[in-house]
Amino acid sequence: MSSAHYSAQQRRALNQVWNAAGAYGFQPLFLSLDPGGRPDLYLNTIVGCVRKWYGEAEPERLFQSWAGDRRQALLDDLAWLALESAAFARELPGRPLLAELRRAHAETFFDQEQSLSRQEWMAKNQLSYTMQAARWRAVLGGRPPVMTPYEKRLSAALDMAGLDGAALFPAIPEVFSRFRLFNGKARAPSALRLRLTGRLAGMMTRLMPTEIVHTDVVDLGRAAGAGEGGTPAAAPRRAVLRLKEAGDADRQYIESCFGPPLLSARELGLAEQALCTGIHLGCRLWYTAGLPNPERANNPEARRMAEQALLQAERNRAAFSADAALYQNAISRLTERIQNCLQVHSRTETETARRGWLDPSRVWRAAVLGDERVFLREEPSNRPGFAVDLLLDASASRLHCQEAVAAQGYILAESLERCGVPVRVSGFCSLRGYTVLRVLKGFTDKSRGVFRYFASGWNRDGLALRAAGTLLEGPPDRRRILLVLTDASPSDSRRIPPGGEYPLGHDYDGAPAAADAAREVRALVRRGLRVGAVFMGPAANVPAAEKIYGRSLARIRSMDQLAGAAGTLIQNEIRELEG
Amino acid sequence: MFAFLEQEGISPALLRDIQKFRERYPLAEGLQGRVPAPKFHYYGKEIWENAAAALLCGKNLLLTGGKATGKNVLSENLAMVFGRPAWNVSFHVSVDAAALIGMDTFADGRVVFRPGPIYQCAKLGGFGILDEINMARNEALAVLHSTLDFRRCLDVPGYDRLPMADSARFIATMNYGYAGTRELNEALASRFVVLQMPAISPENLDRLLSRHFPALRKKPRQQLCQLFFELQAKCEASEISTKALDLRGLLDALELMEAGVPVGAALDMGVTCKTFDSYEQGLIRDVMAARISPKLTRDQLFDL
Repeated sequence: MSSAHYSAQQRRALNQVWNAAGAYGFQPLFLSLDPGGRPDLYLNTIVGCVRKWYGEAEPERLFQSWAGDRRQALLDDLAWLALESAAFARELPGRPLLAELRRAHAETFFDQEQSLSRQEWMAKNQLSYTMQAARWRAVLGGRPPVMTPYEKRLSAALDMAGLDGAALFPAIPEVFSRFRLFNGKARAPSALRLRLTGRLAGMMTRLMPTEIVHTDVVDLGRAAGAGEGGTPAAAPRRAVLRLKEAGDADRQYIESCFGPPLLSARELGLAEQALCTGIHLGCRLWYTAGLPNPERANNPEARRMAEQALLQAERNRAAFSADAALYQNAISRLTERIQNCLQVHSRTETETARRGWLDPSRVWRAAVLGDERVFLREEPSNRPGFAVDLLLDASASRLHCQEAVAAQGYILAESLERCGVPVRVSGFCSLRGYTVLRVLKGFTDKSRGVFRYFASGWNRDGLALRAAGTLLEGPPDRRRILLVLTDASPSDSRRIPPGGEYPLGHDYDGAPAAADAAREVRALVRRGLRVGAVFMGPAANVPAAEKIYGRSLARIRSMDQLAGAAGTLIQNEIRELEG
Repeated sequence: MFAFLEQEGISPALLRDIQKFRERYPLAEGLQGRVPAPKFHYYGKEIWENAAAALLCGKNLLLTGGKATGKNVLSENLAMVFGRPAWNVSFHVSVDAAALIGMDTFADGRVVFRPGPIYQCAKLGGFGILDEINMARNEALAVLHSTLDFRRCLDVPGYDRLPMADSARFIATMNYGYAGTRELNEALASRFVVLQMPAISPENLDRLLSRHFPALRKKPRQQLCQLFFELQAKCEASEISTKALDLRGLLDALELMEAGVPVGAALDMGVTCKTFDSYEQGLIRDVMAARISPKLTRDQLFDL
């Protein structure tokens, strides 16, 4: 599967490419969407045909050869015109309809010409536009546009129909060289460096891709543009910080960002006494289901952060609505999978019936009362005997994909709800010494609560798991399945205090933190919970993930796969629980 | 049917043995209506030969394979060519032993046994087609063990032991790995010989279409075959569910086209709308739009 996150329309375009290529799962070099964001069937089919006839490596090498050049966009356009002519000729005999699609595309090209704004015209590269106009005019059998002799020759050279792969890929750079468009050496545009502060910096971080840095403030980032589903390009680095020890100020900060606690101060104190022990000594807990509250903020920074947390919920909802069709499809399919699994593995209940096995103790009723319900019959029970707790890593390592996490959490919650399985979704992170467990959707709440998800701070997995086992109570008479979304890289700004295994103390990260998380998972399993994890993170963390979660682990490469992977884990658990 | 099998190149020795089987076990009176008359033939020489040989050896068959591999078509074709009445049982999670072998019921003030399909099949020497056998719970299937193994009998609790007729056979089908299905119990699986059904080949699909729609022109026929395989690839990649991968639906659509329904509408009715999800429908229509022009008329499709 691909590692990038795609919108519904992009996914549809991707399917058009895959279909034409006759292969699925690869990430194409290009996707074509019209100005309205709709997939362009003809061009996507051509992208797929290029892959089908010429493979993956050669086209990639071709486009890489001028990647970063200041004329990259123009060269890409012209190269695609060349590839289009070649791939069209190769594919046409097996797909006669392609000629019709090509004509329809050409007509659309000229139709769109009428609706372009002046700005859009200015943004177009004149040479690229002329070459395209010439190609599509020829397809429609019309007269070519007015061109200079240079343009005429270039247009003719870009028609590479009939060339096989061996001739095609050397031919394109040769044409570019002959027409002085590219001499084989990419020339980057001159670098421009800006150092921005204040409001301008705030605005630019909203608009531009951002790097993830863990800090002890709630800081909500914007999703990075391309490849936002993948691992952050830069490894998260530890921020140098000075922990504020002013307890009240921290508490108020946490409350303004995450909402009021679910427990009274006394209950929370007792929970901290019981849970914040060993290597978590000195840590605090915050167990909440509330909303960020800017009114409770004790300083402008806290107020801004609380406001951003509310804004993130809006972004999550908007992102879901934009691709609602895709997500509804995912919900239906996951619901069907879980429902089938539940049905097949359902337990049976015996009930009286008008036919079945004769129940001797009821025979008298037939003779005396005329009641024909003197038989027994087995019926499958539709009541699942378990509940699911989904625990989402809400640390800063998820800043780049908050909308995707929220959407996937919603898909999973809604699918389980439709199957009658009680589900609760919570997020966890650590901030200023507090490990925050935030219930986004309780067992009886609507699934839309999941959209309140936002990411910030650190993740002290060991304490979060310990707290989840104690504070998150399950419904009575039901087994609990705890599913954790994790990057298997627990780390917290609050060090492990000196003592025990660590006489000098230790940073809460690396092997000690992973060992702590693994211990807590074992403890939960001993208490009868079934614990599984969906892992999304760098390959280097896989051993840690396996150490913590054992075989109940599913690895995903894109956040789009979260619900599906969690669904598979749940199916496995259903088989073991009910089988 | 025998003419078709000869055309398929099935071994003449096997065909002779099937004829002998039919002569040895003539059809009892009143059962002619239970012998299937399948609308479609199964195409695939090797599978035909292996399946027929297994049944002639007295084995029970387990046909495994994905959707649209022809499991049920082959089952019915086999019952027809062997000239046996068939009882078709569609398995689901609620199927229990009583639904298979029969149950007590109350009639005219007394308890009587109402035979189930397996009982009748065993008694009358029919072919029991156990469809999607792995949808049922293993406990429910345990009652079949003595019927399917060397004992060849059916023990109905509270009644006499029923020896199975010599001509009785069971053909089970299953789609392994289909969402929610369970592993088939080892004890049950060991009582069948297993035939892995391959997906229909492009050549066989082309033959199927040309046989059922002799007037269909070659070019559109080839494109419709390609369309089917492209949908199959999309299902295998889990981009769409298997609902629209429906060979019967494609044949239905062609019938509609032959009757004059516009191409787009016919494909919608036969294939696309088998899934109710609008996003999936969009993906399926894209596959069609890259293969079949919705503007095609009946005259362009068929030599009428």
